[in-house]
Amino acid sequence: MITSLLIYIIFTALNYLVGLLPTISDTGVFASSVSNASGYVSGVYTFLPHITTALLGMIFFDIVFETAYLLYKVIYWVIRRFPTQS
Amino acid sequence: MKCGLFKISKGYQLRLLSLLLVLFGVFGLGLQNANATVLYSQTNISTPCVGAGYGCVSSSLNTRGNRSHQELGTGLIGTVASFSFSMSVSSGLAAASISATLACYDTVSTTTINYGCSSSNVSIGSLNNVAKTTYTAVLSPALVLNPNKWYGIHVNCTSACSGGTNPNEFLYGSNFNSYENPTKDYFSFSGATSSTDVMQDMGFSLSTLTESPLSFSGCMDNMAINYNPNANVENGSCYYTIATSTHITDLYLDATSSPLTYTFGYQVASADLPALIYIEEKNDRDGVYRSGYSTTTGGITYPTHYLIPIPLSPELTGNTYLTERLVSSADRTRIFDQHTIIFQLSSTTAVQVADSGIYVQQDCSITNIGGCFYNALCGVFCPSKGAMNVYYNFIATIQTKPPVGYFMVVKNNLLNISSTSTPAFGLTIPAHLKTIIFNPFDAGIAGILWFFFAIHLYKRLKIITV
Repeated sequence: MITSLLIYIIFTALNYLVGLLPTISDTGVFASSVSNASGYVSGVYTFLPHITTALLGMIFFDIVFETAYLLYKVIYWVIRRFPTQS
Repeated sequence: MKCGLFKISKGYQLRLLSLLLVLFGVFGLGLQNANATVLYSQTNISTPCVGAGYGCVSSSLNTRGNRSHQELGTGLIGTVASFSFSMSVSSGLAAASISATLACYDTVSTTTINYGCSSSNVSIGSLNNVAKTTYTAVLSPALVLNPNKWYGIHVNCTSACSGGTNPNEFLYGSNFNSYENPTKDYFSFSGATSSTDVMQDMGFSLSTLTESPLSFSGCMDNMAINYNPNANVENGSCYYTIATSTHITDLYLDATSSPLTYTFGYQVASADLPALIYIEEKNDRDGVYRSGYSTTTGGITYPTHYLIPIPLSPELTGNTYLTERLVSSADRTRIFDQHTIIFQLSSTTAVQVADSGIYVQQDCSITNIGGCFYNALCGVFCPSKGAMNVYYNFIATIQTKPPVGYFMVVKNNLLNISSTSTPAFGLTIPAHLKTIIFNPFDAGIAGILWFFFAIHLYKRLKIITV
C-alpha cells in the first residue's frame, strides 16, 4: 500500500520526465557497421585465429575493466558528496 | 498522548495498541481468506445419443462429410431408378471388367462391409486407359431407399485387375480408408502393382441420382451438432450438446515442473467428434493472455490432460479463468460446449513466486497468527503488481531514450554478432605455407601479445587507487 504509493508517484513522475526526451530511432547504420567489421574480423580470423582472438579479448577485457573502475570512482565520488556526522 | 481532540491516558494506549494489532491481524486474515477463495465451476453435459448416425458418439462414428466428395450417407428417402458416376482409368491399369453397385450397409463401419440390404448391379465393361467417362446404371426395378441404411457406390472388379484377385473392389461414398486416399481423389486397387494402377477422377454427386422425389431426412438446424447440410427433410434428430460427459477435471498445480504448470483434463467419449478444442486463459490483470485451438481436426480423443504453463508473472491477487470450448472443426463459430474454471493461483501453496511485487501468502490461522501479521504487513508495505508495472514501464521507456538508449543500441547490435559472420574477403593460403609459416606465427605473436598484456595489466593495477 505505502510502498506501492511511493513507487507510483516516483516512477510516474520519472516516466513523464523521461518521456519528454526524444525517442532514439535505430537507423541500422550502426548495425551495418558492426556487420561489416565482423566480416573483416572473420576474414582475418580464418588464417590468424589466435592473434585475432587475443586482440579482441584484450580490447573486450580493457573496456570492461576500465568501465567498471570508472563506475566505481563515480559512485565513490557521489557518496562522498553526502554529508556525514562527525 | 493527544489524539486530535481526545486525550488518551497511558492505560488506554496499550489497549488501543492491542486493538490495532488485532485489527491488523484480522485485516491479514481477510487478505488470506480473499486469496483462498476457489471458485470451481464444472458442468457435466449428458445428452442421449439418437441412434446411429452422424455425430452420434455412442456408435462407431464415421468422418463422412469431411471428405472431398459428396457422400450419400443415411437418411436417404425415395426411390432410385438409376444412378450415374464418372471416372477414368490410368494407363497402368490392365483391362478389366467392373461392375458398379448402389450398395447399402446396415452398420457404419470403417473396416467391414455389411451387405444387409438389397443392391443393384450394373456392368460397366472393360476399362483400360479411358478418359473420364460418365456411366449410368439403370436400376430395374427401382430401388426403394431405406433411410436407416448407408448407401454408396460400390465398384467391383469382376475380372482380373492388374493381376489382382477377385474381388478387387473399392467403394465410393463410404469410409473405407484402406482403399481410399481422401487427399488425392483416386482409388487404388488392392491388387495394383504400380502406383499408376489407379482409377482416378471419379466423380459422383447427388444430382446424378435419378429418383423422385429425392430427399434426405436429417437435422436441418445448422446450430446443432448433427447438422446435415444435405438434409432437406427435418427428422427431429437435432441435438445441441455433446452426447457424452464432457468436463474439465483434475485441475491442479504442478509445483515440481519448470515452468510451473497447472493441469486440467477433459473428457470426450468419441474420438471422431468433428470438433476442436479451444482454450483461453485470462486473468483480471492481463485479460486474455493465451488462447488457441487444438490442431486435431479428426476429433478429440478421450480423457486426456493438458499442461498449461503458468505465465512468467502470474496474477495471484485476482481471478484466473480457464475456458475450454468445443467448437465445430468446420465452423469455429459454432460452439458445442463451453466450460470455464475460475480460480486463483494463490490458493495453493504450490505456487512459488520469485517475481518482485508479489509475495507468497502465509498460512493465517489460530495456530499461525504470525502468518496473519505477515500478510497484513505485506498488504501494507509490499508493492503491488500495478506499482511494479509502473516501474517496469519506466525501465522500458528509459531504454528508448538518450543516453541509456544509445547503450542499448550498441548492446543489441553487438549481441547480434555471431561466429558465422560472412567473411568480407577470402584468402587462400597453400596448406604447406599455412603449416610452416602462418600457424607458428599466429601462435607466437598471440603469446607475445598476451604476455605484454599481462605486464600492462600488472602496471595498471598498481596505480589503481581504491
